[in-house]
Amino acid sequence: MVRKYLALMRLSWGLSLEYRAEGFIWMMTNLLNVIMLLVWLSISKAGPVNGFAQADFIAYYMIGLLVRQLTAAWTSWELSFAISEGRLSTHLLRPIHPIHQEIAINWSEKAMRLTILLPVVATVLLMTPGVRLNVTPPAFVAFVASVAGAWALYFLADYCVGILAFWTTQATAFTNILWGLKIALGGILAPIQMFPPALQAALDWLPFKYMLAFSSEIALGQLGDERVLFGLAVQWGWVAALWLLMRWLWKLGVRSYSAVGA
Amino acid sequence: MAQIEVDHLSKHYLVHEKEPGLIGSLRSFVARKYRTVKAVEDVSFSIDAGEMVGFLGPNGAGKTTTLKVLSGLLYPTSGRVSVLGFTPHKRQNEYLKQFTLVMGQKQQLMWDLPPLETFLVNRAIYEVPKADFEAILKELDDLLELGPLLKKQVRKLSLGERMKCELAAALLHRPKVLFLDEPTIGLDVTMQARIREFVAEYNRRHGATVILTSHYMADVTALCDRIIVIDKGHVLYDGNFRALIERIAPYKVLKVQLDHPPATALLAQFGEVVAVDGPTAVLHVPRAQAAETAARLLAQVEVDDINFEEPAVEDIIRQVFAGRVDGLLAEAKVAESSHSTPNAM
Amino acid sequence: MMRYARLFGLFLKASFLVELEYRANFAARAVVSLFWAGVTLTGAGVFYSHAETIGGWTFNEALVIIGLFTFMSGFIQTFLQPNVQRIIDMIRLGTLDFVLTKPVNSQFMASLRHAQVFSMVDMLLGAVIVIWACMRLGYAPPVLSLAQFALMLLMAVLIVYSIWMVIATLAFWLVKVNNMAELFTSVYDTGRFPVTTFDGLIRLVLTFVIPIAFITTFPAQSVLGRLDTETVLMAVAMGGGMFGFSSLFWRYAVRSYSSASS
Repeated sequence: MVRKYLALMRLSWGLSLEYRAEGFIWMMTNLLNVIMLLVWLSISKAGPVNGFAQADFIAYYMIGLLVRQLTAAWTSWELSFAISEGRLSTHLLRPIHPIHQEIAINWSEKAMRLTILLPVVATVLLMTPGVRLNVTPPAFVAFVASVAGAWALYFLADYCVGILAFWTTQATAFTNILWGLKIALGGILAPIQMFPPALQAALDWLPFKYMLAFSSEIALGQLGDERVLFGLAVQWGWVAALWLLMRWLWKLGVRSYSAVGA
Repeated sequence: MAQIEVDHLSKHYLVHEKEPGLIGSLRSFVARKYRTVKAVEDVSFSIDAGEMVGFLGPNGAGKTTTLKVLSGLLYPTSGRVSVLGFTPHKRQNEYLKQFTLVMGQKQQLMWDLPPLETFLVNRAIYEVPKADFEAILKELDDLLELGPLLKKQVRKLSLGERMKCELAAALLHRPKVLFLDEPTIGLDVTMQARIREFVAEYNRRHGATVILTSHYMADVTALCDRIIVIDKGHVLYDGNFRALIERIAPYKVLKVQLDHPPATALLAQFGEVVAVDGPTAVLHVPRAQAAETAARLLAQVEVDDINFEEPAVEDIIRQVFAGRVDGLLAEAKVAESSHSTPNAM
Repeated sequence: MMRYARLFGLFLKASFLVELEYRANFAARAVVSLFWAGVTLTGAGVFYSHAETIGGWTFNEALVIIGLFTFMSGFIQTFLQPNVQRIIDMIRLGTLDFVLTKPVNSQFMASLRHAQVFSMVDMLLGAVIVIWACMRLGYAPPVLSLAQFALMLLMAVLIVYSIWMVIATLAFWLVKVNNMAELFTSVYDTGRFPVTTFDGLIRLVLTFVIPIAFITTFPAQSVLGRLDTETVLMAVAMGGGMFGFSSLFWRYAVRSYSSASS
């Protein structure tokens, strides 16, 4: 299995190097984080907003950028095109679930992006006075666990949306909405603390903030141990639920796909 | 005066080379290597109005590049090109309205709409008056039997049906010159024949000049008296097709079926023995002596069956490409002047 | 001129017929549009719950900008995106040859051939938001402002068109221009906010380098009757200049395509 992954990853590394400057441009498409940061900096010029000083916004959005890059997934596009164009059949013939190839591609792209992004984020964080980060070992472990959970959560959600292409030609619209929910409620548009309290309470139980903001909050040391453990439990609960949902949808989808004889 | 004139045309371009593997990718990421490709090198020919000319040559020989230069898509690196008195690469509208380009591997029809919609757009683009448009469409409909196809979405048409509609879309402005690049590619034999008949008929009716490239020898043999053989950017032969066959293959193929394996020495008296397989033998016999040789053979040897065949065109062309025919270019002129001997085959 | 207008009408008709083939697109488009308008408005609500003004604009005034942003997004998705995508595909597949051998201006034919008619939903939605904002402000723009606004809108359209055309034209040399388009879309996101939200260098870039300010902020100022003549003149120069440049660039690209390929 490991070897299969390495082979698959090597392949897509070659692909991303083929087109120069592309990696850089992909990074830039995460400008939204920077834009929102600038907007919040403009709002917080007069003084801290809900406990966020300017340095906190910078730290929040920089860590957010990192988390977003680490957890990005775009498989549903590929999957829904493969399904609607009938290309999936070749994948189904292989003795490996197509999701593994997608995971390999996803990871190798990440490797590429991280090598560019990590130095940038580190430099900004070091150069900004007043940045407060929680760098204790337990916090670090929790951060890594939450990032892994965030990746699995969004990847699976995205994959489920892609599977919808078995039944609808409009799967990309759902992809778009899922992505929008992550932007709006996951902590990119605004840190969760900026929302009205009722919405914040609801978001504790919904999956969206665990796709992104949760990890940033851990890194910034904004959460007590109890909140961290609670969050991780909810997050991985969602991961498990989505995993089951994915398996179930996939089974149904492949059945209806074969039935049509595509 | 010739309608199409190509004078010492050359077309070179640069390609970027990539080495395989990760290291190769990285290396070409940093510094790219380029190589000059001479797609067409010093090509000259001229074509009269109403002629049908076949371009023959392997993949990458320069056929399509030449067609693209003629249609004004590519600028010549050097040399002079003139079609209908225009310089193609200036792409004047007056010129663009007088020729058409059909590419068998590419389509201009709108995928999701019936062909008729593309036709209407083309009518507006080429400014074809309504009455003319209807008359032309009617004629194309008769010739190609478009009928029900016109109202079906392109994506629902078969490859052959789509090609018919592609041709129709390309001919709505009644072009004087047709550039057909592999128009029958991927089609089944029947459909190939249909398209071929159509092109021949169209040429007969409207006197349009046709340049055709094709992988299928049958397209060229059926349509073109004249061929231009291109390989590696050079013209190897330009002239009458039948004259070429006689020059390269001045023999007929004689197949003899005996009741026992023959002695090669015995058969050698009658012609060049090319193959012996059990009781069957294949001989090349000089064209002029074919009948006489057959008679002699029948008289001297016990033969079960005997028949003559023409040499396969594919083999002949392969010989041209293999460079087996020396001085062909020089002889082309001779062939040109002697191509009036009809039906030597 | 008349001929081109007629051709454009024919293109629109054909595109509309294509869209009707995929009726489900319409519902999906409408849902996605409403969703994003909702996200943008909610976002604005969250920002303004922490500040009276952002970049000197009150909530109701900022609504005008949001409306224009939505309108121009709709315009981009209706007219620019589908054509740019097709230009990229045509260059890759070689079917651009069909465009170049037609006796019409090749840029016109390549850039206006298709329209995603259903995306006009966003244009409509944007217009509604602008009108709604004016009503909330209790403001009826005088005729002169409206005339100026029409001019500014035309210039905004020219600017956006030119930027997209330049991106599409780059496809003659670069393999994956889609990322450039993606990058522009990211920068365009700043258009949700008044350009005055951003400081110093960034504001300068958004005004003169990637002139997003001319696409949303300045036309919005124009509706509100607060635009000075210099900016109007600048917009005219910018629109004309960029359109001229995009045409020259296209011509240059087609020339070099003709001399550098086979």
